[in-house]
Amino acid sequence: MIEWPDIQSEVSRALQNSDAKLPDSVRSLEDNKRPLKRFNVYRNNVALSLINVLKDTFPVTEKIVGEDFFKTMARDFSRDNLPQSPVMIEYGAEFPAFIKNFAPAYSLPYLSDVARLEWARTIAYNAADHTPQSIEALAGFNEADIPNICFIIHPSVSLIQSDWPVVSIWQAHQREEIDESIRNLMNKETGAKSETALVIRPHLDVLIHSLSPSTYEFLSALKDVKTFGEAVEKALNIDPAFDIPANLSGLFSNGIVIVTHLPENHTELR
Amino acid sequence: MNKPLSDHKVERVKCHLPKRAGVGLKGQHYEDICSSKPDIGWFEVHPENYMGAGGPPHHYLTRIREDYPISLHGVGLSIGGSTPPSKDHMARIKILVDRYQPASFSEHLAWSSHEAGYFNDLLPLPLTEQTCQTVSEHIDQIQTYLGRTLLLENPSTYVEFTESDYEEIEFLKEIVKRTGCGLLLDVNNVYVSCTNHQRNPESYIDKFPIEAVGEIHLGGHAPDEDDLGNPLLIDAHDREVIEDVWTLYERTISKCGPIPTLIEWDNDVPSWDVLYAEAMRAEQLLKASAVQTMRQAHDRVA
Repeated sequence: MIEWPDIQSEVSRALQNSDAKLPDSVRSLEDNKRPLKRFNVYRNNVALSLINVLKDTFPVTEKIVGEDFFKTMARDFSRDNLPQSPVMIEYGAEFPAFIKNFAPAYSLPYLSDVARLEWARTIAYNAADHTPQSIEALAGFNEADIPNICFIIHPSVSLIQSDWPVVSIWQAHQREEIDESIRNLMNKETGAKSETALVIRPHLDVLIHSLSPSTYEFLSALKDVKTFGEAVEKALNIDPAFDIPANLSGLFSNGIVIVTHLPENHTELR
Repeated sequence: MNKPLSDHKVERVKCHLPKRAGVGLKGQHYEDICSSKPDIGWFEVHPENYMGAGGPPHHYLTRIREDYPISLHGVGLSIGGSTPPSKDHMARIKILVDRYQPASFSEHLAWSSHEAGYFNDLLPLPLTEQTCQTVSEHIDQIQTYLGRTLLLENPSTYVEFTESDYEEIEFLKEIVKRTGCGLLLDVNNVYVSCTNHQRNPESYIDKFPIEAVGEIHLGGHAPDEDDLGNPLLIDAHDREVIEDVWTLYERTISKCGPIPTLIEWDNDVPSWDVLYAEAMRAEQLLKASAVQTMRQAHDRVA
């Protein structure tokens, strides 16, 4: 008599490899003739359900390459990258990197970055809820301390840097009709430019903002727990005309900050 | 050696859903439900879809929980697997149980995880003395950890195993006996599995230990054929409940009176109105069954 752990291992192998022989234990009806189509229901369920999870998370990526291409790409990915937990909102973190190395998609060099942006949207969608601070949070600080303050950034925030206009490409694909201007966005020779994105969910809706290179540098530094002064310095290195007051108020008006504090006083706050 | 199971006479939270119709809660319907507050008994969710830290899923579920009882119906504990349920996953479920205080917690007689990872499907197991003990131990661990009685759902299956030496109903009865768990009777799964394995669904229903059932599921399935041209039904949850399943459902509740009943529609999700109408059909049958049960009680007294 074969033990259940061994049968389960055999069934698992047969599920992962569609060419694998079916386990001897698997039976259809009393006479045990040809259970292949029956067993394939499980193979299909596994493959299709994971493809559908990826479709839900990467809808613009799918729109760009079309349903059939996406299905092939998602199937190849999921075959070698089964989820490591039953929490499907965590599935697909490695998909953008997989797309980058997926040979049939080499002609679409921006595709992986669009997928990165979509993954950032999923992270933002499910991130912890926090009420953003308003700019009044600064009122409690002496002016001399302002360069030393640190911000705790909203947990929904991701910053995406791309050689391609990812934000414009993503926005263009929110429309039903895909016109010629989208194709131009995706074509280096007709003026494609690099873009950086802020993805954030201050309240219920996930928002995507396009950032200037200096603001990207500024926010990256703050996210790395640099002080306001250090972050400004990094931004000025990128762009000497970096607008300090506008970027400071932008932190609050866009819901980016949840706690403002002086590092020395860290324990006193929140 | 079989490990001793914990004493299931200990007091645990049991299923206390209202004996009305409910539906599986879908993101597409959050706004409709919050704005119109429909007259419906309860909602069911897969806890796995609410395991993010925050965001719209928790926002809407919190609002809906203010007005309706909630049932948590897990798909990820892999109770039928050969290894114990993941501690991490039990902990994630416990967080949701504490937060939403569900009226019921249920899972499947199936497995979904193995060394390679999570298959995102409810997979079949042989029904043997060995798996009966394994499943009982897993249910015991879960019930002890959550402090709740679990309802175990009968599966839809497409294949069976040569090793099986239990009938499904006997297997479920034995698990109820060993663990004190309850059962979730999925009438569509009965129809699907009985058709696929050429058994009689009516006699399955008649033999089912109805006294252990805390909840009923109804759903739609997709018809296909196997390699030999025999009917092969697939539990797709992508359409209306068919008439034969409604008839089987009426047979079930005519035996035992009203039981909380869920319409499951997870794929090709229809508009709220269509789903609600489907639930109201179950609600009418539950009301009729309640009246019939009262009459029978009255007749016995008279």
